[in-house]
Amino acid sequence: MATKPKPLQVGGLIAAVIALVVPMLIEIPDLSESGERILGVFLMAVVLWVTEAIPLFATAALIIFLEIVLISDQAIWGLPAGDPTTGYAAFFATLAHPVLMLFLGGFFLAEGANKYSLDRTMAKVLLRPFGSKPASIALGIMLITAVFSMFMSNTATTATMLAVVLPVIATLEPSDRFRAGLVLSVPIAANVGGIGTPVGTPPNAIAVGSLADAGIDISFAKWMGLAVPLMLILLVAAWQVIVRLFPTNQDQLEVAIEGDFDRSPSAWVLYAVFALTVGLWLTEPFHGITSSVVGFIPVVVLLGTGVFGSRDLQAMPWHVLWLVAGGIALGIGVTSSGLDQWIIAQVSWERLAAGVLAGALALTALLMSTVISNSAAANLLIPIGLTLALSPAVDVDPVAAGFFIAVGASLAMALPVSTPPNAIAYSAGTISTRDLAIVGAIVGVIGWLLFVFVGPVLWDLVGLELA
Amino acid sequence: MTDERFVILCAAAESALAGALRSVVDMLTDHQFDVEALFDDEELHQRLDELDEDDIRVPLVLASDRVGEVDGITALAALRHRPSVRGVRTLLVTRRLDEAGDAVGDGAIDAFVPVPWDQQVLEETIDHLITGYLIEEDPAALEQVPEIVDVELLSHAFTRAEERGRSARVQLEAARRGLLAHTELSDDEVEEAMVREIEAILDHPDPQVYPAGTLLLESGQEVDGITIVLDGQINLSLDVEGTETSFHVRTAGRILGILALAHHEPALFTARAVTDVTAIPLTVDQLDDALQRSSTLSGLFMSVLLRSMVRRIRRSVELRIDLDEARQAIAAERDQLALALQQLDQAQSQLIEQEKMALLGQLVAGVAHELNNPIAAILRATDYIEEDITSLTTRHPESQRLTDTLIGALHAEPVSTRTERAQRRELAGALGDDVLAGRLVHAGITTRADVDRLFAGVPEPAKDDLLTSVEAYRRLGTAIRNLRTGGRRIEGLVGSLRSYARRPEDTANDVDVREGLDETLLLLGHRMREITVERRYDPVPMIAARAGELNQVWTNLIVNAIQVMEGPGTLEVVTDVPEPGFVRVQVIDSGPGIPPEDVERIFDLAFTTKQGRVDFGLGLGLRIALDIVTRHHGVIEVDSVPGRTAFSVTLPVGNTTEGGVAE
Amino acid sequence: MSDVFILVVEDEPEVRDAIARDLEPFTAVFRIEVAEDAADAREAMAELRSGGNEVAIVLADHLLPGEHGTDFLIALHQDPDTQAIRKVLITGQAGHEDTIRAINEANLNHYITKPWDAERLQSVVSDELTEWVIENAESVLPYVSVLDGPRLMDTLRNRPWKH
Repeated sequence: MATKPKPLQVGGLIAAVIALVVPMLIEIPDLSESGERILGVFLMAVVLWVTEAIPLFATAALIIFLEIVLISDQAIWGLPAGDPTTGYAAFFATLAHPVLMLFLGGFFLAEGANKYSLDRTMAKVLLRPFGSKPASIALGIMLITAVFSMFMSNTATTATMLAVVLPVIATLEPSDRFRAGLVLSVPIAANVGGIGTPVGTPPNAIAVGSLADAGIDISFAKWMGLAVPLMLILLVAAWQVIVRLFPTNQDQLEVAIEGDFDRSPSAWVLYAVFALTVGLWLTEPFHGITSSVVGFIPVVVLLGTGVFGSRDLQAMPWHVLWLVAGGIALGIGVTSSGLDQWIIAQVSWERLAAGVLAGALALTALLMSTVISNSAAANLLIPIGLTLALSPAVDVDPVAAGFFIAVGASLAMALPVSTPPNAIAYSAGTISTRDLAIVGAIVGVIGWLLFVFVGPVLWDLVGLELA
Repeated sequence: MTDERFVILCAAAESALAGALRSVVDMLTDHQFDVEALFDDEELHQRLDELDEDDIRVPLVLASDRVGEVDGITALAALRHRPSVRGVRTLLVTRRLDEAGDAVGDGAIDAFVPVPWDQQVLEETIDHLITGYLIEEDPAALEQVPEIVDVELLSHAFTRAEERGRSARVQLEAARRGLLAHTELSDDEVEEAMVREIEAILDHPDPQVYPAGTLLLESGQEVDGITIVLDGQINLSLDVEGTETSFHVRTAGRILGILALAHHEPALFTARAVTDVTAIPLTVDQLDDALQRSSTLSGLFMSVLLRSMVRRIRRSVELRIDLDEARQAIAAERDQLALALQQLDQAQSQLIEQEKMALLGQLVAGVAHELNNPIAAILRATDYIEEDITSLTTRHPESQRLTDTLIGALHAEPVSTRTERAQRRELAGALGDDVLAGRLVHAGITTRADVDRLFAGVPEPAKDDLLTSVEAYRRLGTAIRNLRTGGRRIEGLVGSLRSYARRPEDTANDVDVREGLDETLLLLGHRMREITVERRYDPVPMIAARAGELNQVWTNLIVNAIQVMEGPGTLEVVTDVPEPGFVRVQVIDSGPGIPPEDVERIFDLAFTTKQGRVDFGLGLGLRIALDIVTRHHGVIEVDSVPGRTAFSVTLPVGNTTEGGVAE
Repeated sequence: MSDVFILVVEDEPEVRDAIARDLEPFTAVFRIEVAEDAADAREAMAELRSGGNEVAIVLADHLLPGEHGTDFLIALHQDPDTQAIRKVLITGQAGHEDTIRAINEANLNHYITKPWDAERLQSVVSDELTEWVIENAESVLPYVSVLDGPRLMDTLRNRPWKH
């Protein structure tokens, strides 16, 4: 619905135009013409993604368009000779980047799970072993949410799990703090769980995609190897925080989720495809089939068997893919225009220790994501992070840089607006901003410490190579 | 048989009367007698002399009150002394009944007939007199004039013949001429005569006594004689397909076996003595012997035989007729029963309806009574809550504002939603905050000045708290007020219900019809939201009536009016005094009206003006109303044109305990 | 900021107060407007809509002075502008016929008989508002805390990207 533009939006648009134009008008030393142009695009993206003057995906589309008309071989205003140019097809190609195909596979699995209520039924089955003690139920809900969130969108997972949780809290006294705890456990777990796989959340995909463009392939299994152990530790820590901050005097809780596994042929097709796809993703090191290719299997099979029709296809969250594509395109622009070199040249990076830089990138992502979209933050930070990491001057692993930025973006959950799961849970009304801020901040900080400082040690111990 | 001539003389002063008498006598005698009119006493005697010379008998002389120079009685009495007319019967046709009565008592005249005479009485009297004359003076002539013979008199003559020792001639002659066969002597008399004749001929044989239960004659048995029953009762029965059917004792007659004997057939009936029976058994030989010896007996025997046969034939014809009549009677009875059943059905459904209404009335009265206590408790509790809340509020730190709010809410009149919205709009304009304005108006703070007063001296941050408190107190006050309003409404309804649905009344009380109408309108109020009710009550006197029943009349009429209007309309309820001693109630609706052809039928049971719609309400309700009004000696009238139908109930004031006009 | 309204049409002030009070749990998100008859209700709706507000549900008494509640709801249903509004008939004594007519012609979503039970009224209104939100609201999130949370979550789960 077209509504009156808010002041922030109007201001954002004006600022965006200024941010785009100014770097092109003033002469920036040591920066090529195309570098100046992409700097303008970059700054404009910052403004638009922060202010959300236009939708995030629209900004992404605008980025691709501007890059084509400003710095590609199709540039409207010709670039000075010697400036690096990129074929315009490269920018369009970001819309079908392999990592988006991986993500699309995730969408198909998630939509299928939703369509056949696989998620809800699984939640019931998986929740059973956790008994009826409030604390263990909270743990169960968090683990299930996290696992779902690894393969489904954090938002869908949150909605699914809140539908399970809301009837449970309705049985509790209104004064019972555990109501808030249980509601909080869902978005926290969804956010944390998103870290677990490349398809868990868009920042992961942006990181994987950008690394791939830089020639570094991260397999599905490798990402999980890096992320899952730490994610589980963080989840348990978050659980403890919630259980301690939101105690209950109830001994027992009643959890009822109706429904049985769908046994129709279509459902069986879905189950099989689900198992096959996830199985292939986890076993990539053994068969070497790229996860993006595997991700296309559910697309082909589910469409081919008629399990999904055109309506299902239209219902896919394509705009998320566009957003990711916009981030990747921005990265290509930064790299290809030479802007990356210029940025590196501006700071004496040698003074910074390698670990400090990675930690700083994660922290920046965390702080930025707290107020703007995780994906937008990742889109903005990953090109810069990878630029730094790929620079010989800076001693930091590119994989670590991309990974930490993605993780940092996922750890931002201190405000209702930080992530869609937070917004959903907050709307349920039983949690206050303060509850969310406290728990979100604690979990964010623990997560940051865990990944930045414990992570490398752990990876060393198990012999996991980053690159 | 000689053709004797008889002359009957009519003596009367007035020729008209004499002519009239003559015409009567003419008709009566079927011209067997010559009838002559005479107008003078002398003329009478002269004619009598002439007739005597010609040896013509005069059995009867009629006279009116005046015959020539003398009065009727004198003229007739004089005839007693004329030897030539020995035994002549005299009849006076008179207006002077007392004198005539005395004259008959003295034997001066034989009979009188009052003027104006009854034709039949005159005929019978004349028959009687002539028969009496003939029996005494010329029994043989009886045969010539069977039409006029007084049979009863003749029978008497027969039965008394022996005792009186005279008239043997009469018997003999009568029997010889077979008179008995065609006179109308009763069977009993003929049988009696035969019995006596047999007894005489057989020299009084000893009767035998048969104890009760004795079988005198058996069906199907050959009969070898007859049995003459002198005393006791006989039962005749017939065995029909194994069932013994009894016939009336009278059918038996006194001579058993006579028919069977005559036809040489087995007995048809079984005859059994019911009581001890005294009878003379007679063998065929004895009977035969007796018949040989007496021609009188043979005549009598033939007569009895004939009568027995006639009796049997008549009996069979009668039976057939009886059967036919019985069939018709059964059919008629069946029709009557069906009709009665139908009427009973109607009466029953009406009764059930009335009974239901009565029961419902009792139930309602009972429930209304039971509701008294809880509603009283609610209303009292409302008062207590109000007191306590008010007292608690005065202790609140913001007591003044809150008490004002509370009391304001308690006594506020409900505001129309339009007004409230207008106030909100205005206040929103002044404050620039629609939501706040809505809250304030809802809390009873409707103007900018009120708002300023409310928030005077209240620091900004505390304003919201204050408003929340004010809202709560306002709602509290409104809730208490609503509780009270609702409670009072129930109280009023309960009161109305109780007086409306009084227990069944046996006696009439003084009733003001306007009270009943108001109660009815109140109770039916929920059905009349779209209807404009106009009450026009002239002062009317109390009437003696059963209030509960009248309420039912009002209810039925008003419900009917509501139903026919089917939506918005105007209901007029009018009371007035059409004439002294009466009260009239009119219920007038603005409905479509009743078609003229239906007006007659609207009080019929179950009449509806719409086909297929039985719930139209006309019919039973109106019928019950009519019944009640009729019981109160009142009338219901209907006057209907499209758009205006008036039901008028006019009731007599009756015996009220206090007179005067009720206010 | 436009508000979403619950409109109560009832002629008796006491009953109106009581219904409005019973609907207070919804006031965290919705606002309540009252009207005493059908004409008044139309005025109120016109005023609300001209202020950019929306009416999500109308609860109308059957026996209103003038136009019946049933007829009012039917008229609402026939107007494309107001067709989406959820319609609840509150009836003291509406005959079977009236109710059936309302269901058939007004697409009546629910009917409640007087005297009503607050909990039942709230659950009916909650269900109807939930339905309205799912069909009409841009985002279901603001309503989760007041209405049927699990159902709204289901909606969210089925269209997770629209919020």
